[in-house]
Amino acid sequence: MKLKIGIHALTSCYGCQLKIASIKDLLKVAENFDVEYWYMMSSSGKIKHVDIAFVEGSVSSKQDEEELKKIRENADILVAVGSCAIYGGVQGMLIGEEYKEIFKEVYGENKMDYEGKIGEPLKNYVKVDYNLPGCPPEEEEIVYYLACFALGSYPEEKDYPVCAECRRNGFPCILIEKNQPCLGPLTIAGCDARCPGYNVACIGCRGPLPYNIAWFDSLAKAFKEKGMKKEEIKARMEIFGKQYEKMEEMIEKVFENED
Amino acid sequence: MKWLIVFLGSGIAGDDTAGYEIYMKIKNEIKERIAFLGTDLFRLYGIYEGEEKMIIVDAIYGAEDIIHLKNDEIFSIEDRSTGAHFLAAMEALKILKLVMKKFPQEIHLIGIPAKSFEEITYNEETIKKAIKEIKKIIG
Amino acid sequence: MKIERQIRNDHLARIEGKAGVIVEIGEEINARINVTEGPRFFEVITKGKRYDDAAAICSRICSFCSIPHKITPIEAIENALGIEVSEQTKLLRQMLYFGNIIESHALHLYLFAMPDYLGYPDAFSMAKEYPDLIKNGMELKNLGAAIQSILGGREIHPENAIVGGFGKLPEQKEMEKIVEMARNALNIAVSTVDFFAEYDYPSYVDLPRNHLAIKPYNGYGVFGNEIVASDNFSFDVSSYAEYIEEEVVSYSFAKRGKYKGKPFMVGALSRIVINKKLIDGRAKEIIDGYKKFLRAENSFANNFSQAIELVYFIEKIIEMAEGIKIRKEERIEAKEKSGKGYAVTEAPRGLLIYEIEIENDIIKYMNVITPTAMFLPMMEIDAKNMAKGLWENGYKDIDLIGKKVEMVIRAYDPCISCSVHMIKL
Repeated sequence: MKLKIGIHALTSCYGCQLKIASIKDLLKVAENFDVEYWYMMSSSGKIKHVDIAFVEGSVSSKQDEEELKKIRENADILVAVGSCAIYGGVQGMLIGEEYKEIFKEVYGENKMDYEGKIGEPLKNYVKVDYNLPGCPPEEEEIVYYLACFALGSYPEEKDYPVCAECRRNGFPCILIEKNQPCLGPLTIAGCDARCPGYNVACIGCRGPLPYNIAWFDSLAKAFKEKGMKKEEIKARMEIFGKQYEKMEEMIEKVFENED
Repeated sequence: MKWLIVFLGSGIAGDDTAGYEIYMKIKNEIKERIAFLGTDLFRLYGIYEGEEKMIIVDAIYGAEDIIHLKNDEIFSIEDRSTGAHFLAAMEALKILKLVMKKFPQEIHLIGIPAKSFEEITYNEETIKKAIKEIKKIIG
Repeated sequence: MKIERQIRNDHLARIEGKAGVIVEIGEEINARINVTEGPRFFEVITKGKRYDDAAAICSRICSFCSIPHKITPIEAIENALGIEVSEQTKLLRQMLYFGNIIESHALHLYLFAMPDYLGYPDAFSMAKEYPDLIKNGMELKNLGAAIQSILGGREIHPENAIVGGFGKLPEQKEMEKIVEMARNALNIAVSTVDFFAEYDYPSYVDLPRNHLAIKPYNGYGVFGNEIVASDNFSFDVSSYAEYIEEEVVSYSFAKRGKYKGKPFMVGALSRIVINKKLIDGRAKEIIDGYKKFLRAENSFANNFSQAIELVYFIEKIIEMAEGIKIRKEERIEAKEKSGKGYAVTEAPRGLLIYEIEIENDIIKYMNVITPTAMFLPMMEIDAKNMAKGLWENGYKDIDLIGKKVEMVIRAYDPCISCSVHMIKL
């Protein structure tokens, strides 16, 4: 029996869905599923019960919140797809600001029919079963998640930093050799270190690495050795990861003094 | 291209480095397409270009000597082998078959005997033997 | 007004982003496009960031047009800091941008628009009866994606396109790959034009309107610094605020554009209406043969125009990729640390304007006006006229009217995520 799935976006750039729609052998992969709702691609199908719901985007409005709750009630498994859904995305950087103040700056005294919010991750509102990281996620990882579910198995998130992939590819280390604040040591792997491969310092778009890994500390210590400031690295990590609850702790650890 | 040879393993963990060692040595000795996939066979999804035949080279815990298995024989070893690494590779193969329109018709597995994650117990001989075995298969 | 009937779809399918439409039928007929997509405040989050990080953040405004949202702020930053990039960079950026338009148009025409024309709710069900159509659409889309991956690093959020040039230049053999893919795709592009030339445009939405487009630096290009209107008026991008205003309405998180106080259109149709003379090659032959389909007063012509642009841009890609000899060069470093700059480009859906002020390498101020925000009022008028025309001509089936209204909206190829971004008044 085919798995029933639903694909939905709250507030985002729609890149995660676009990536799903761009899967190389999409029709072959789709043989294993019944897509019950996917507004971006189909005008048939409204939110209804599915085995697995894939949701991208941050909760940036009251309507987002209501849609998310409806999806959660009607899904056995909920997967948060992409940086917006997992950490709030770039728009999540505003957390802590007063929405009413920002609204007033932008709309003046105009009243809106809809209620907006500072973008937040899905997990602040509902239980999330799995995270599929990326901005956007890699096709390979999307297919891996879909295939695992289809087999009745479950996907495992990567638990090592971009540095591992960078080294495997033999790229020169941007942090060490070019003195640039490459966030590879603190960012979750899966992109095959694409940006360092293009000589561009990692901006951390896949989100912070959620675990303490034995050797990530050593490369992360390079920030301090290179004379980079804690505030600078923290500000850069916060572009995509401000709402990662262990961010302060991680940055402290990275910059702590040796005994 | 007829053959794709993929190597699994890690760059740093004991016997798990066998795949990487063989990959680096064989690079300049054969002209068939080769790739080092790290510890994740699922990465085949992104690099596969339609080759008819494939060889997977991986460290196998519980093997005494180099083993060579073909097609269905590969799945028979599941019960005998220890080590999550190999089982993960088998799982990946199952998943890949589900989502890839094109897949190699002939798959070989070359298993390098492995004992330890902490230290390297294989030697030059093992590496040479494995390379010889690979060359024999591709003819 | 007493409302006799209401046509309502709160969540339009097969568009980018979240919006709804309400048509109210009473003594008059009114239509509203409700943009409910949440606000993300891009102009606020980029403030205080280093300019290269800000450009990377801006590409996240949208995935369908992430290349325009990376290259346009990059241009504005370069204008602000007096950075003059090499001819090779300009050419490669043009190729990258054309690649994005090719993918975006292919996606829109094949996956969003065609199902309506053939009577299917989506491309999946359409694929069962028309497998070749989907295969063709995917080939076009893949060409666009390949060009963007090769030049931008990846086709969504192109990190390889940076201020001053590129992180890593492509290899010559990648240019050859692009030529081969583009050659194979050219005939598919022509067949796309043929598809849309099979259908008449509903005359209910015939309405003369202002079109705005860029005056390209060269050929029928996407870069320039002057904006031209169909009333023959033109102005430099730096004075955009005098002629293009953004209004706020209570039912839209997106602001909406007016040109000299009136609704207007941008996009493929507007580009062709204004810059038709600059088109050459196969696309020109097609336009000459299909003149009657380029009706400036009807928004359905936008679909047809996108198909023409597929032909034109694919031919240009072949020309550029064949002619280029990649030369090793470094990106250009900035000499200034502060300044103000403007940039306008033609994104797939129309004019995209960025205004950026930098102080000591840090973004002090940013304004973005996207094409969808610009054409929302015009789209609303067309939606209303479609419903009005059908109703007043005896069609009382609410579902049918609803479907036709959606077709008009889709013809604009709206990108709702783009339209919602926020700036201080």
